Amino acid sequence: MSATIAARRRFVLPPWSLLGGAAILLVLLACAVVPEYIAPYSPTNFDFRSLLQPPTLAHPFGTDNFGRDILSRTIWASSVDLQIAIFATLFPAIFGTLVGSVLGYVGGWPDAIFRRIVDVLITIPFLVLVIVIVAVLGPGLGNMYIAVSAVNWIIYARLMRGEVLAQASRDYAAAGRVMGYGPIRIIFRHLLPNAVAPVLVYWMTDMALEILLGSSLGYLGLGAQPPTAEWGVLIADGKNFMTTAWWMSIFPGIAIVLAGTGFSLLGDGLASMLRRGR
Amino acid sequence: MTPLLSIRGLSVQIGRGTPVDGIDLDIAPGETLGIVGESGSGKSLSLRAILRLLPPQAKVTGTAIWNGVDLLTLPEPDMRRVRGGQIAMVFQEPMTALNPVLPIGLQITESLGVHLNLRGAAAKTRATELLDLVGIPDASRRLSNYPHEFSGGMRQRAMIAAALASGPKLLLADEPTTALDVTIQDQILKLLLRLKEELAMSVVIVTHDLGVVAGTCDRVAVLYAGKVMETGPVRTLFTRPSHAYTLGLLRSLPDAAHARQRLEGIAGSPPDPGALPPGCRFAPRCGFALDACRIGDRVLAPSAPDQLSACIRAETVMAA
Repeated sequence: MSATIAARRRFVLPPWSLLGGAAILLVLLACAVVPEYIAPYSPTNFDFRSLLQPPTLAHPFGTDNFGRDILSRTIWASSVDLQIAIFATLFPAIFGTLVGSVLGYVGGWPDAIFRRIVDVLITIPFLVLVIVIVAVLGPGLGNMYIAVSAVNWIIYARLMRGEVLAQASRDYAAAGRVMGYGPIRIIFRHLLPNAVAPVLVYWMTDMALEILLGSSLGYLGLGAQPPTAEWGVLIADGKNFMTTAWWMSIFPGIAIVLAGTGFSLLGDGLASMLRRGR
Repeated sequence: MTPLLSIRGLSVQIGRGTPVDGIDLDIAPGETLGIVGESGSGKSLSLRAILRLLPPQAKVTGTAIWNGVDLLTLPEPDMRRVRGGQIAMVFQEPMTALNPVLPIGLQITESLGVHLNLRGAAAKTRATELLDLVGIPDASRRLSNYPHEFSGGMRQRAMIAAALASGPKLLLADEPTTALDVTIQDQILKLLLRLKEELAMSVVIVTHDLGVVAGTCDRVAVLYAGKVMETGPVRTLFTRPSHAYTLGLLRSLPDAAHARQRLEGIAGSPPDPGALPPGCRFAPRCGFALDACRIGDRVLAPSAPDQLSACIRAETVMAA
């Protein structure tokens, strides 16, 4: 019997959404890690003989008002945007998960205070809050990470708190206490692994959201600073030429959509795989 | 003989209700005690109260003397050594009482590590022995299995193995067989009895199944609406109950001798713990009730050798 179970476990194919998302992200990752081998031109080289060229074979995505190749800039930008996806979510995801697990299990007044903080923060739109913090700290990617981290961990903590709360009422949590285990062991060894799946899935979605946020801030001039190629900055660069040179904004926009789709698919596939594992 | 665990005046108050109200129980070394009662009689709640597993909203009073210390006032770190180390507990639902994401073996070795400081290969060997002890075939290979790869009965066995890992002196079993098939029930009960002998433990079995009690226990306590109605040796209590409630319970059991006849049952339903009747709590549903039953407090009084009853009509009931 256990042989068939082992066989079944080995041959389960991940859902197509997971594979699709992973494929998209792998392409983007390759662009991000070794753009110099993939991009046909330098992202910052001006070429005044070919300004605002529409897409051609030589420049598949066209060129901008300084004659820079849009394809190359979009490819180089992926490294900045994937950095945003990772650095803007890493701290909130980890810290929020830890805080949420403890709060969900311990409850009491720390939990009550946390819930009030959540209530207050949720009344303010996330983007507005981040913009305010970045405006105070000064524009730039580093400050954007700080701003997002300062706010975003609360979302993770809230999610994790609810999950841990639900898991803590299950019998195996009581069994853990009956075995004489301390709260730290119960929270991090028993409850967290059972409660972490929704957070992982949200993390993937959040990476897409943070890329959009990074692009929005870049567009507003608060995120990555020119001449750094970043998708939002690229779109902003193209906005004055929207009627005459649509390709300047459209192609970086498609890149954002692609990255967002990749992360969403990955999160989706991960969710259905974790559900199946139950 | 001094009791292993001596419970006096155990009460649990939740909100305005008192679902457990002044329970006195003694558990002797090597004894199997059955606690029976309907749903809501406070039987599971009492068990959890002893190990202090109830949420803080539940106010627990009384004493539970274990090795000369009161479990209900013991500081939490000391309590943790008692839980699992000296008193273990198995639950009704083996499906949910094992952690779904950890292999069975790990869940047993974890307890060995915490309580006996046994780790690595030694812990693994001991875990295999324990699985063997509870009758799981091919134990060494089963260690790496996850709970969902076990059947219900096997999970309950694994749960028992994990509970026994640290060599407890008392095992509390909260409806250990309710969720299982009848054939598996029998196996698990026999297993519990065998382990009790081999490991020289005392066992408390909480159940609503009188058949389980009759088949396994030395002594039984009948709970109703948070109070002990009657205690005594299983044999005498079942043949000559001295409380009207016990008699009612026994008469509502279907049995082969009176097949296809109408079951007697007990009319009415248990009282709401927030609105208890005065006098004997069973009086409103009792066929033996007199006016005197509806006033005053009841205390357990000897009705036969070793048998205590809270019924003022014990003699009439025993004659019935």
